[in-house]
Amino acid sequence: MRVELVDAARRDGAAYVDAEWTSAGADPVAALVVVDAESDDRADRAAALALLSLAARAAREVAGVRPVDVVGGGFVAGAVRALLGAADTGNGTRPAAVVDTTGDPGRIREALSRLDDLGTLVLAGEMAGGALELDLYPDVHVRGLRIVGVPLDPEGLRGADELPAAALAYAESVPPLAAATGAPLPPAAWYRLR
Amino acid sequence: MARSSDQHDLAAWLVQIAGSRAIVARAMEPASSRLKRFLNDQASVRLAQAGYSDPMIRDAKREAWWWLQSRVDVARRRTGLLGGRAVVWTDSGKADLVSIEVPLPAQGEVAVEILSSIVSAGTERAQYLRLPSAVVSYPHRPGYSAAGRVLAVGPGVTRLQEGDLVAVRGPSHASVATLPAAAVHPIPPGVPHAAAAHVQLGVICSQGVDKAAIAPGEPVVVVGSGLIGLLAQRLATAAGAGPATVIATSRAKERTARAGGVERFLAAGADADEIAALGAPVVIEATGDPRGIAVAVAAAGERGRVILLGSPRGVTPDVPVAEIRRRGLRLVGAHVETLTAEGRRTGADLHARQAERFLALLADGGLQVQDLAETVVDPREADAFYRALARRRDLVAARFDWNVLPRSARVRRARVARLPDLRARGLDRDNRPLPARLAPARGDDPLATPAGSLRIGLVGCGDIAVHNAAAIAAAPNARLTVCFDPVRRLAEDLAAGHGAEVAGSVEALLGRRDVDAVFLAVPHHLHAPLAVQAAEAGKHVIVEKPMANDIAAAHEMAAAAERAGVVLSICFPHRFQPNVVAARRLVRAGALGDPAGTLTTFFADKPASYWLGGFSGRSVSGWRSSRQQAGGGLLIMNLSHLIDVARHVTGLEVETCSAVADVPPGAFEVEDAVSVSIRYANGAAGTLTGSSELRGNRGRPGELHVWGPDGYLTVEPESRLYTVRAVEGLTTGRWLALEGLTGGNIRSEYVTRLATAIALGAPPDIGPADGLAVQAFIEAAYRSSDGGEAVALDRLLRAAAPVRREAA
Repeated sequence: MRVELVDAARRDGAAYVDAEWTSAGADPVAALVVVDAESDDRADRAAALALLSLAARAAREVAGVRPVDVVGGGFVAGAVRALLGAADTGNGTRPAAVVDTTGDPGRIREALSRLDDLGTLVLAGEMAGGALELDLYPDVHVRGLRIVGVPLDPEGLRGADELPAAALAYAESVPPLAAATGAPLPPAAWYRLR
Repeated sequence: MARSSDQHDLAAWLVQIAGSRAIVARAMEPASSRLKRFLNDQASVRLAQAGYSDPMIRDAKREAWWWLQSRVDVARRRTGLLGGRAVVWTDSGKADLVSIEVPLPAQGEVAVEILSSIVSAGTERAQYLRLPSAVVSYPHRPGYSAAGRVLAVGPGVTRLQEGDLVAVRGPSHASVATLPAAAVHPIPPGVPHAAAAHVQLGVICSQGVDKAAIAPGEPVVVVGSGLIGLLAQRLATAAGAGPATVIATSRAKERTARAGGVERFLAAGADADEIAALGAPVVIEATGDPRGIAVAVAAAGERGRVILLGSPRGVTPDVPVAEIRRRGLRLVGAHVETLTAEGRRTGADLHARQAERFLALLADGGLQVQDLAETVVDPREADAFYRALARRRDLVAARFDWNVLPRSARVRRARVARLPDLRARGLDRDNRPLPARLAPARGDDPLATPAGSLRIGLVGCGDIAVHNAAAIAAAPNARLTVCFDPVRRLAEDLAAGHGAEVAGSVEALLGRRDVDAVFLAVPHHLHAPLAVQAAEAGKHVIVEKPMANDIAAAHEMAAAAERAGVVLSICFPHRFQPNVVAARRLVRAGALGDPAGTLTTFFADKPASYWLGGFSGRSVSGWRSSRQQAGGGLLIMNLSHLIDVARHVTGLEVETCSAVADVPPGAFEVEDAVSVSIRYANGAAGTLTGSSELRGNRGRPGELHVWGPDGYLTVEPESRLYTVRAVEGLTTGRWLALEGLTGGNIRSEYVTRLATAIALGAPPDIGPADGLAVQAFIEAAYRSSDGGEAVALDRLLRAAAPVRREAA
């Protein structure tokens, strides 16, 4: 059994999609497929572990930093929040770090503008396309910001024992919502599409 | 008072107004605000009403404001003032070296005499060109990294003392600065101040390299080969990085990069595949170009660190954020000011710590930087330097050398009671130049000391011959021995006045042993036959300008002199006007750069009688109004002097002429007005225009203006110079009136020097080539006017040259 990140449009069979990877009426920007799964449960678990792995590595990039904002409402965003054990900053507080799980250029730009000087932006979302236009001098350079890319690496994690308990607990509480491709998706953190 | 053009009055007026509002110690700060409002509102209006131009108003306001600021500083500190010079961008594209005043140091401060200051070419070029993210307001004082010697320390400063050599962070390009002691660092023994002057650049780059957290042996790629890029690479290498690669937009700086240990040098456009294959763990982006990040990301390997060290000038429309995420890259903003934020968290002065590390690295030999600032700039030439910088992309860095200024200009005690020096700022609505005097010429002129004793026979004793005879008489090494004119009474008249004899014929004159040279002052069409005859008689030939009535005749004369082995010289005495001598010297010294243009005019209101008897009417003849005999009118008769002077001053040869000559209807065959467009061989353009019928003109008829990329020189009617080059000890960036340019009899000077050249066997000042050049210009202009097309002088000269006998 193995997990692969694929182009959602070219997938064949069941696929797992974070809520931030899809929007109404459009194909998901990416999808996870589990090859040679012995059962749906095992496939669900393998996909969850891949997403948890991404969330864990994103959380590690901001370990010890406070306050941290997490942008997004999908499975990965929830896992990062669970791992960090922190709520988003309130209005008027500039976060020392932002973890973006959306991949949306507009939200990334907005996250950068909110960051405190010397802050860190973690890119953990699948990029939906669209150009990110920045004036790097004021937006990044002079403020000493860091932008860290954290790719989804399905091969990077072999087992649940490498993940914090908080992440596993989160995954247990948020199973994928089974849905049909092309149909309107009900609200959920992530989906199993057929 | 404001309507007076007197500078002192204007200065006093501004000071009076400033003073009435400001020089009350306890009210200094609010007074400053009020003065600023006053200068921005009322002063501008009143000065404009008084006839001052916008630049003058701007300069006046700046001077008044700086004057007050320095006094507020002094009052606050309870210290005195130091005076010096600073490079100031007074307006867009305009750099100047101006007088400044800085306070003596107060508590915790240090005053430094600056010896070297470093120009980071990329940063200052961007600011000078007002690129995005680099827009400055004027007046602006560029620069931020220097080294010098401590002049004085304020109370509480114990680690520095007067005379210490120090590296200084933050001062603009100036000869003197007062700064917080924390920004001043002792230069370790053995480190040249020119190297230590890079200190702030070292801080900028060191903190960027630190942010890369380079592991020993780890390869490093630097994108950008400016000062920041190359210095960052050297620091990375010194910190133990592995092989270094530099990626640049061109190979202009490859040599400097390799001298600093760079192993590979790639061109961003040409080597795209190689860049993509680099897979570098560390990439330092130091271009300042918004597109640089794409190259840096392309060069980075999986999970690589990309350090944004350069300050991007503009918007990046498509930051490669998907690539950053897909490959797990880390992009780090590394502006030097991040040290301040980091320092606040740690409580340490990280700027100072980085500076001291940088200086220690220089001291232990782990870092070389002096080759980076390859261009050394005289601060007086700041304007020329920045104008060149705007066009150059190959310059890594430059260094202002403040030692070249006289000590009194670099550092002096300044008086608090001094008025603003507005005149020195060029603030004069009448645009009066500053008086200036050239230093005496150096003694490298072989003809400067008269030698020999030249015996001269004068052929032609009419109008101009009177002046020639007087010139010979005034020359210490020449003597008029005999005169000839077909009108015997003219010859007798001149001979009697100069103790000479009268010859009955040309042949008789040429047959005399007491004639070494013949001076021809005859109608133009007789120049050639008489010159040939004289040369064949073994006499040196002096011919009144022009050389001949046409170019073929001029060639004959040159060939005859060459065959006979005698000197042939054309009398263009205006070359010896002191203002022309000075102009040539200044152009040769580089006051204008490579001359780019000339404007020559000659406007006179000549009486009709001139064309029949010259100015004096001494000898009545119609040759001047004959196209065949004279060769032409105003152009050949009068403008030939200015053609020669322009050529002499600029050193330029004319390539083509396009001309219109106006021959008025009537009995005279020659033009009384002409306009010529000139293309010089170096690409410069010129205009020559003149009229002998300009009513009401009673002043000096000729004007000559010459300009180049570095200056503008008016030779006639007044000698004025504006230069951005520090030549001949002259002030740069101001209109200068060259004074003391008076001399004696220019024809006599011509004769004296020619006699000396003949005695020494040296080439004369003016030979056949000079005469031919002017003749070709004149003939080209006439042919162009006749034919309606531009005429090339070179073709004209070749076509008219006689076929050499050996070739035939």
